[in-house]
Amino acid sequence: MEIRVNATRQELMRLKNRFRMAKRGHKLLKDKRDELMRIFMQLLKDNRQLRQRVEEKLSAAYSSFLVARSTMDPQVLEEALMSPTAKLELKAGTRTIMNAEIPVLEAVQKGNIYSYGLADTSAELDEALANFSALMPDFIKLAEMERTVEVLAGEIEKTRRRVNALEYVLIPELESTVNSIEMRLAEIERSNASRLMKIKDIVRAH
Amino acid sequence: MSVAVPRDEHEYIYAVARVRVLETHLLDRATLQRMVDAESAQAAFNILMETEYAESASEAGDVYDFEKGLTAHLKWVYDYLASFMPDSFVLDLLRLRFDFHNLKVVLKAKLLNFEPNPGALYDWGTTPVDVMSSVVSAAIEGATEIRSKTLPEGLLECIKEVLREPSVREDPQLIDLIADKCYHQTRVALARASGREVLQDWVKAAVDIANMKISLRGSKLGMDKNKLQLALIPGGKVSIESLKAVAGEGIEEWLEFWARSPYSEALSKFVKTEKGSIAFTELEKWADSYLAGLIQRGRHLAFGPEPIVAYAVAKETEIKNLRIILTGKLNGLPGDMIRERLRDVYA
Repeated sequence: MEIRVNATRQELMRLKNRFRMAKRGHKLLKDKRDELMRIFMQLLKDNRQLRQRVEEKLSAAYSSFLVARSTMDPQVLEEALMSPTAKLELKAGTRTIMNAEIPVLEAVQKGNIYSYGLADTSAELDEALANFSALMPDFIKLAEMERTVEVLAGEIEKTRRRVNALEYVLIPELESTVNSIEMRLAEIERSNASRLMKIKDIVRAH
Repeated sequence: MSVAVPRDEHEYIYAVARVRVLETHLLDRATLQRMVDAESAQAAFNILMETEYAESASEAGDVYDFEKGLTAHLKWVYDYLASFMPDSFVLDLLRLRFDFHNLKVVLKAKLLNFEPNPGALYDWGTTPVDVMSSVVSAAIEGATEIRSKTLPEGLLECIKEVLREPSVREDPQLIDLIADKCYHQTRVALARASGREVLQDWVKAAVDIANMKISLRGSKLGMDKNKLQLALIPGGKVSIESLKAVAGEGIEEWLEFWARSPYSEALSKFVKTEKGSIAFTELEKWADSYLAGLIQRGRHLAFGPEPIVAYAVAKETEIKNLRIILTGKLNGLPGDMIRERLRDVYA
């Protein structure tokens, strides 16, 4: 579809400028999309590996917790875990990748994770808690990575829509409008020339 | 509350006779084996429903609530024993564990200001939790003279000792360490007052084994010297001075120490020399079996409180085995993994 404008030279100049700008923007956005895709694909690969590692560790941690639970009275287990002294400090910030704001999480664990007596609890509980504690940094990293993937996917989608809008709508519209204005101007030019020739003939006949 | 002392051993004849009947209902190894080999947790639970657990297990409804059934059964065991006991000595000795556990919960809740989950409390100790709770509250509020006719001396001492520790709010692990120590000391005092040799041997060995666990686990977990010295329990066969002298050393020094103790032979069961590491699962299994074995020596005595204590210990071991089996079956643990954790059976 053409853009409805007056077929003037001034308009033609303006549209040609817009056309050049759209072409440049299109190229830039395409480059941005390609780079985002590259980062996204790498992130997906890392994310898959990290998730697999976290799931393996989580499964081992649950398994050791299960064994600990099976050798202790539920009351003893409940009492052992009722006053945790370990604290997890989470620092949250952001950074940008290609204008997309992504989260940066940093976890610092402090304190003793074994805040229970050692005489009537099972050593398997120590192992389970150590496993859960060791899992925490990876857990936080996974959360950060999965959110990054989500944000980048949104950014890629947005950029792709813009590229498509430029490539399939704005640029063809500008191109066809510029063409039609050029043709219209050429027609006016030819019409003027023939009018002048006709006037010249009339003047000569007198 | 004064320390209960057993009566003349002949007064236990009736109670021992009743326990002899109960002993015949203990689950044998073949039944536990069938449960381990059952194709599903429900099938294992169905086997349990054919035993004396049927009534308690039916309270649970289904296998997923088996803990309710086991808890109900343990409560039933203690209530039933209480119905024909000639004195409170045996039950006091056995139920001290529950009292000190409840005291830990109450102390933590009061000192750290939270409402404890009722699931963390046993409701068959010798002292009601609300009595314990009001005494602890009074002590925290600074009552100079903490006395209660309804609270045993060992529990009172424990409360005082915990409150004397200045950093107990910042480090609630101290509550557990002190309470565990007081629990064992109270048991040793009770057994000593009874004059029964088998019982004294049993509680002293329990102290040594608790110290073994504390020293090896504490050193593995990097517990500092002062805390470890505080946690170590006096009253066992191994002197507390010699134990405290090793506190702060590494795990190898502790293994050398225990290799020179009366428990040296047991070390080979759980110390993996080729890796220099300790198999704590094996240690705990050995400890439970060793202590149960010690008290089982008194099982065949015709008179005295020992057969009753031996029965209660066998029953607790049986419940632990059932918990291992049913938790394992519910979560799809392999049969071998379940079997290697099962404690010895005294049926």
